Amino acid sequence: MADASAGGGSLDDYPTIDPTSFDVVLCGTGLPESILAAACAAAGKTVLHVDPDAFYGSFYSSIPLPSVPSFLSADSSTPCPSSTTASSSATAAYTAVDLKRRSLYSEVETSGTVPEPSRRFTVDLVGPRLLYCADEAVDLLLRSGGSHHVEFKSVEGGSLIYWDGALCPVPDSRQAIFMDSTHRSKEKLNLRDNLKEKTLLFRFFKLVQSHIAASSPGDKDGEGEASGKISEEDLDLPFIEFLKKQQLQPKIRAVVLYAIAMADYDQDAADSCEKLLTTRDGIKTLALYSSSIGRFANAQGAFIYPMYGHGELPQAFCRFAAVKGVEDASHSPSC
Amino acid sequence: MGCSSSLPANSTGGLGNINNENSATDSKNLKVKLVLLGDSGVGKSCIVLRFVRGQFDPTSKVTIGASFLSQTLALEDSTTVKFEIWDTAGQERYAALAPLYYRGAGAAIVVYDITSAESFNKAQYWVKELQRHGSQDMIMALVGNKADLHEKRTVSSQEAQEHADMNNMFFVETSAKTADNINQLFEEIAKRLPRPTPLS
Repeated sequence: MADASAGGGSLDDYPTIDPTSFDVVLCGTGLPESILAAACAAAGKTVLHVDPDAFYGSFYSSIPLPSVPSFLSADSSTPCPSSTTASSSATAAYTAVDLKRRSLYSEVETSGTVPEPSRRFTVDLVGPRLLYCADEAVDLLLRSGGSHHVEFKSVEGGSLIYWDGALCPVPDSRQAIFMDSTHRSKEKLNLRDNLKEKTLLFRFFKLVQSHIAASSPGDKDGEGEASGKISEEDLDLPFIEFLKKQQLQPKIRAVVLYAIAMADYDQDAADSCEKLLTTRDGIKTLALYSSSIGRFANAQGAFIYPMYGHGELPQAFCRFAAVKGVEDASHSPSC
Repeated sequence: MGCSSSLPANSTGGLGNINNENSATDSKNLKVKLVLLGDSGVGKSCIVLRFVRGQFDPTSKVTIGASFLSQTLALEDSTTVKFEIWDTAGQERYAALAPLYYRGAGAAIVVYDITSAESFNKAQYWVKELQRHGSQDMIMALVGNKADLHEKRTVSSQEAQEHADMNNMFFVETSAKTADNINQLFEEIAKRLPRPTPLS
């Protein structure tokens, strides 16, 4: 038994947890820990899920806007109480691990007041992450019943892309892309160039489509371009090089890279070469994007977002885990 | 449902839990999420099991093994109310309940044990939590359970009634063991639920 008196007198404030032994102990209620807790519980393991914070989600939580300043100032001043370092030698059955918490940020400054109506906004600490409707994460939510808990919202109104010094809407269908390129070309290009541009675009779509079809499971590996597949050589290229090779115009390239493939880093910057998306992965996300559209009748585009922020996701898995019998313990607020 | 009113009408309701479940309610058939709150051991799950399955199991453990249970009530005015009843799954024992638990709930039952003053104190804490996380038009009930053990009573019904009045709740004492007032509790909630105004 671990010596429970090591943490000082403050331990008296917390109820004793019964039972006292578990197959798995998880610390923190972020998304990975919560999914693990749910998975372990589903596999029939006894799980203790602890969190030093009084709220769910650790760094994956969604903070109501008015609470953000207090959250930020609280975070820096909560050193983790040093864990039991003694008594491990007495019983060699376990070793005490000294857990250290990393701060979410290195430096933060807040000023001014929160604009109204602030209650309606939450800040996702992990940053906005759209979910493709056909994403594996969505499959997991459906399989585990987590989708009963989290309300999603279709990303309507499309996305915007910063281009030529202005925000412009991203064309969200093939027709729209054609329209968009036609429209733009009217000013700058003559009819012939316009036609050429459309042909290139059409060819690109066809190529991607036949590649996706040829690579779908059940289909034997083809022999390069002959079977409609993109060659291995091209698949290893950075995606942006491939798009250039397909002679797509810069704006369409940007749309494909940042609004469909959701590349995180500037693909044009030479210094970030290890962050460059490969054609292989790029095509995969195009396939994901296209299978996302129309997956749910009530989702308009390819993307959905948790209605009340990403903080809902770990909570959903924590609840799933609790229903399966996981013991949850956190620094619950005293009453 | 439970969606901010500032959003345009066509975007409310999200994806209906992304599984295309049609959760639309008409004026005759209501559907409501109901959450249970209260200290562990006061009989939350027993109340649910009595209402949903007509059973009472004094040994029932902390969880009921399901995310929620459903039960439909038919009222005298020929409306039906389908309750989707969420139990805490034991998460209240050592941890706070997640905001997700309260999300979209149209009704809440705060339970205490009439033989435990401590559980009544905790009930007041849960009422505060409810006011913090729940929506404002939520129907709230304060329930003193284990009314069959009245000889061991430590919380007077008058005290509880006052607390309920103060917080805009209705109050009832129940016994999941004898089924006393269990159906009445849910019927009362059903009657108080706001009816959707029919589109003209």
